[in-house]
Order: sequence, then C-alpha cells, then structure tokens
Amino acid sequence: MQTRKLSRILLAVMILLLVGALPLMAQDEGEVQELGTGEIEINFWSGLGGPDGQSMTDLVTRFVEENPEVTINYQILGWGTFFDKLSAAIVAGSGGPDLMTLWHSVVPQYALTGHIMPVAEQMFNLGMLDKDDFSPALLDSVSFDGETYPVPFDNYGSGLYVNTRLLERAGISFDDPPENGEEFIEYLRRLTWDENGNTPNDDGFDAENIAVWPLSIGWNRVTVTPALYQWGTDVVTPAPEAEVLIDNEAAKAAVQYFHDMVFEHHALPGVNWNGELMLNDGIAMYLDGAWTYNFYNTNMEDGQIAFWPYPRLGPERGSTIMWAHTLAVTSNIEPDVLDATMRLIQFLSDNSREHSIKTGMPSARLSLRDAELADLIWTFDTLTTQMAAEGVPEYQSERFTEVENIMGAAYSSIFTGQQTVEEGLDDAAQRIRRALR
Amino acid sequence: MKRQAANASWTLTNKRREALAGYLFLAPYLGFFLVFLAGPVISAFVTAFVEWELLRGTYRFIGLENFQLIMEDDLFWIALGNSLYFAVMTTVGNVVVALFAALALKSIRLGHTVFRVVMYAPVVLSISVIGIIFSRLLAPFGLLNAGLELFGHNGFDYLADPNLVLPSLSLTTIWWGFGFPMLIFLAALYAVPETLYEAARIDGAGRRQILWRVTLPLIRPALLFIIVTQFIAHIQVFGQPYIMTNGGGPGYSSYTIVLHIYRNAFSYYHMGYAGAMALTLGVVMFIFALVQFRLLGRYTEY
Repeated sequence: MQTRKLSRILLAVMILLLVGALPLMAQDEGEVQELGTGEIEINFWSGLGGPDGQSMTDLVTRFVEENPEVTINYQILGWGTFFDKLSAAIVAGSGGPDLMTLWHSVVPQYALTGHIMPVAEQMFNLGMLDKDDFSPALLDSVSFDGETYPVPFDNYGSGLYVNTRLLERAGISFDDPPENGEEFIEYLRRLTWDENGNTPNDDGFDAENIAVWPLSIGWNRVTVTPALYQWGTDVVTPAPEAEVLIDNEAAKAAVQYFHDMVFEHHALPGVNWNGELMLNDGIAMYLDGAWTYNFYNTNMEDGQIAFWPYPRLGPERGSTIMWAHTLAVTSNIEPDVLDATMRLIQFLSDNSREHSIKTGMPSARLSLRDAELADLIWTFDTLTTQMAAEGVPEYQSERFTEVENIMGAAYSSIFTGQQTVEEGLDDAAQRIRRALR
Repeated sequence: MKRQAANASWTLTNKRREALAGYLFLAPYLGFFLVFLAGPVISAFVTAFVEWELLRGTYRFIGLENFQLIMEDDLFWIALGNSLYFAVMTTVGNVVVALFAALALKSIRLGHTVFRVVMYAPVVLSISVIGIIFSRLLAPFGLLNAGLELFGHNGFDYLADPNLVLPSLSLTTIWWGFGFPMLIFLAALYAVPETLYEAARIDGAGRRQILWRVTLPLIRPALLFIIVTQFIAHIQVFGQPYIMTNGGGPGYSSYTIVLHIYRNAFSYYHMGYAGAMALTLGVVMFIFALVQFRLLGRYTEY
C-alpha cells in the first residue's frame, strides 16, 4: 500500500518535472506573431532576439498601428538556425519571408545568387532614404555590380568592457587605456589576482588558483578578427574575389598574440568563458560586441562598468570590426507587398535612433547618431568614434557560413591547445580554399 | 457442373475481396512508407551522384566525383572517427548500465514500479531539454564542479576540454537513454524460466556463475538486438554536440558525421555531396551491423 502511494507521489513529481521542462522545449522556436489586420501581408523574419528583438517588435507594432492596411506576420528566429531555415525557404520558393534581417557578412550568399533584390538602391533612387546618410564603407560591403542590396539598419563594433572597481584596485586609471600590445599584456598582469591576492608580478603568485581573471572573450570572431586588421590582414578578401589570407605570416602573428595570452601569460582562460563573471568581480575586462551593453547596463551599477575602445595590439593600425544588421527583401516579392515593405524599411530606419537607446546598438544612419546619445548610452561615444576612425567591415563571402564555421573551429583548436597556430591556420586555409572552389 | 463453376467463381471473387481488403488495410502504411521512407532513400541515392548546389541552383550528374571529394575531405574522416568512438563508448555504457539496472530491478520487490518509472523517465525528454540541462550541469561553474569543490577539487571544463568532451556527451546520452534498453533487458530477464535458476542453485552455482552461465546466454537475443540498435542510433549522434558543444567543439573534438552531413546539406547547400556522405554512412552502418550479427549471432540461442 505504501509502495503504491510512494509510486503515485513519484509519478506526480516526474510529471511536474516534465511539465517544468516544457518551457525549455518552447525556447527552441519563435512563433509567428500576426500584427495588424490589413489586407497587404508582409512576412518578416527577424534574427534579433533579447532586448534587440523587443525593440524591433515595438517598432514593427507601431508601424502597423500607423499603417492599418498592412498585416505583418512577424517571426523571431534564433541566429543559430536562422540561416538554415531562411535558405531552405528561399530555395523552396514559398513559405519564406518577404523581408528579413541579414548580417552584412552573409549578404553575398543571397545577393550573388539572385535571391535578394537591390532594395536599398531602389529606395535611394525613389528618395526614400539618403545614400549619403550611411557609412560608405558599410554600403560598399553590401553592394555588388554597382547596386546596393539590403538597407543597413544598425552598425556596431566590438570593444573592451572594463570593471572600474578592479581597475582601481590595480591602480590603473580609466583615462589611461592601453596604447599597444605590450602595455595591454602588462595591464593583464596587473589585473590578475590569485586566491592570496598576489598578481603575476608578485613573488609566490599561484597560477593554478586564480581568483580574478584579467580578461574574458565573448566570441573569437569578435575578438581575433580586429587583431587581424591590426596586423594588416584578414580571413579572406571581400567577395566575389575571396582570396584566402588566413595562413599568411601576419595572420599567424595576430593569432599568436592571443595564443600567448592563453598559454604564456595565463591571462585568458581559454574558450567558453563567461562575461557574467564581471558581476562578481571574477573578471576585470571583457572583450565583446556592442550587444553586451544591455546586459551590463541592466545588471551593474552606474560607475562600476565602463567601455574602452578595442585596444591597439598590432603593428600596422588600430581597428575595430564593423558589423551591421541589414534589412533585405526577397527577389520574388509581389509588387504591392514590395511597396509596403519599402515603407516598413523606411519606418524602421527612420526610427533606429529609438532602437539605439534601447539596445546600445548605433543606428546605421549617421544623422541619427547625435551627441545626446553619448549621455544616454555609456558605450556610444567610444564605439562610434572608433568605428568612424578605424572601423573595418567584417569580411564577406559567398560561402560566409562555411568559412565562419571553419574559422570558429580553428580558433577553438588553437586556444584549447589541440593545434599550434601554424597548424590550425594552415588547416583552416586549406579548408576555406576547398570551400571556395 | 454449372453450379460448381459458379461456386468456384464466387470463391475466387471472395478471395479477391479479401485480398483487396488486405491491401486497403496496408494502404495507409504503404503510402507513408513510399512517401516518407522509400522515396527519400531513392532520392538520396540519386543525389549522391549529382552536383546539387541549392542556392546557386546547379544540378548535374557527376558520377562518382562526390565520393572522390569524400576521400579528400579530412573533416569527413575526423567526424566519422568521432562518431565511431562515441557510438562504441555509448553503446557499451548503455548496455552495462541498462543490464545492471534491469538486474537490480528484477531482484527488488519494494518500489519496483517506482524505480522503473524513475529510470525510464529521462527517455521521454527531448534532446533540447537534455542538452540545456547538461550544458548547465557540466559548465565550469556548474553543479558538478560545485560538488567537486566540496572535496577540494577545482573541477574540469567538461565541454571545453578536447579529451573530456566526447566522454561527457556519452555520459549524458547514457543517462538520457538507458531506460529503453533496460526495459528490453527486464522483459528478457522475466522470460528466463525460474526453474533454471533453481536448478543452478541446487547444483551449487553462485550469483556470478548464474549471471555468466545462465542469465547472459539466455538473454543473448535481447543483447544482440540492443547492441545493434544502440550502435546504429549512437553513430548518428547529432543533437548532443549541436546543442551542448556549439556544433562540434572545441575545435572538431565532438564534430560528428551527421553534423557534417547536416551542415553540408542545410547550412552550405551542397546537397549532392551531403547525399554521398549519407550513403557512405549507410554503408558503414550496414557493415558494422553485419559484423555484430556475425560476432554475437553465432552464439545466440533462440
């Protein structure tokens, strides 16, 4: 009798656990939100999630309120599966989006194969947007055969989030960011503490028991690529030429710098680290993209977190990487839907300043980056100043997804000690050349 | 004479009717089989011999060129090696854990049903849920390392250490899936006549001898079934590395063959090349299954 009662209780617990796991299952995919009740239907797929996604949803909702003849079937998809689903839908010819968000780096995949149209060019010609209001380098990165394809929505880069409490503890002034690679390494040494409070500059430093790491990195793509520019190179040259550069000596020197941070200076705790540690003073600096602004802005108190430009590490130049989420339109869109879609793009672009305030992601429209934003967003001034002076758009390729996966694995192999820099980059170059054949 | 002929014709019609009814009952399954299994298999076979680039829109017959590319593709061989390592490790682990769980369940009386439910429960969870739970559990600051810290150990970076990542995914999979083979073993154990155990005990056999000389030989058909099906399932591992190691990391340490096929088909759109790899994997699995049948089947008493 007792056994039966116990098994019933356990069954109930199991059912509760399984039901409790349902939200985890539900996180997988976003559902389609039907916004508005108008006759013209626009299918809009967005990869923007979190605060970016919320801000975009707010804008889209406002557009349908102001344009009652339009219904927007709005779907947020995680970036992890976004491109797989998008490409499948585009190729199938139905069920796909009319409007979609694309990283500027993947645009050649869809533009050079004729799956998206030069909507930006059309909007410039119609006077709906001003071409001169966008960074020429950015527009150039999404233009092919003299036509600009998608409309850049935002424009962001990477930089160094710094824990001001730990800077103070190390005796480093926020007004004194590192000026070169050697100084950056010295800063890293001063910002490392073991369990006993010793730094690598002290006798008795215990490298096996580090309490505060000096640096963490969000994404190798964000961290290492700007260093490639600083050594005067890149992964590949822009599409459609796409010459592979990643196995040249300059690229190897840039990656070696980060390799040495992990294995020689013990400054970087390898891969899969977490910027959340900043909240508990577990890391002093976090090298990541503009999107992390919101996380720190929400979770840290004013004055505890600040932002430095991407540090000058290499011999050739200073740099940060430049990215953009762009708004692209499929080639097979119906004419009446195209008209409404262009109005939606114009609306989103015109209101991208509001998006900046909510997310920290600067607008791609230069006229919408006013001085007032620097008071509202603590990363804004540093980020936009460096982008304007030293920003380099990330390489693009018709095979971007494949090249990016190869590079991600190569960095991971090198920074976990599976391969030397030479081996990892030579293998990667060989695989990229094969992919681009 | 006429009546006899009429009867014969009636009988034939009746048989035909019966046959027709049979086919009608089969029709739904046959329909699904043709559309969702036979069709895709034939299509995949044809795809293996064409260059089919979805985004570029190319489709042309290229004979065996895709198979030549497989020979040159180092990632194919790295992924196949990882998949085989994972499949062997997980199959062995699953068989051992499931067998001992089944033996334990058969020997206890109190709470038998409860434990059976509890042990089977993880099977009903999806890989997304398992992946997310174990990613957190095995994270550098996860529960497992927190437990080790109580004993003064700094713990491990299970999913970022090239040597630990596949065993970690394997352990996750065993925890997730041992409930199913456990039930098969349990059914097989109950099918062994109790009189054989009594006879063995009367002859003075100990527990270990009974296990090796009576139980295992008599449940060998179930063992063979589990080994073959588990191996086929685990060599196709996909969800665990896709979710838990960011698609095969660190580096290519947990990059598996189905991930490689998936990426080529649905991320890079080399459909023909992916088809050729799928066909090659099918052949590899067939060979391994055949070897397992040969090795284990000859000693099996049905």
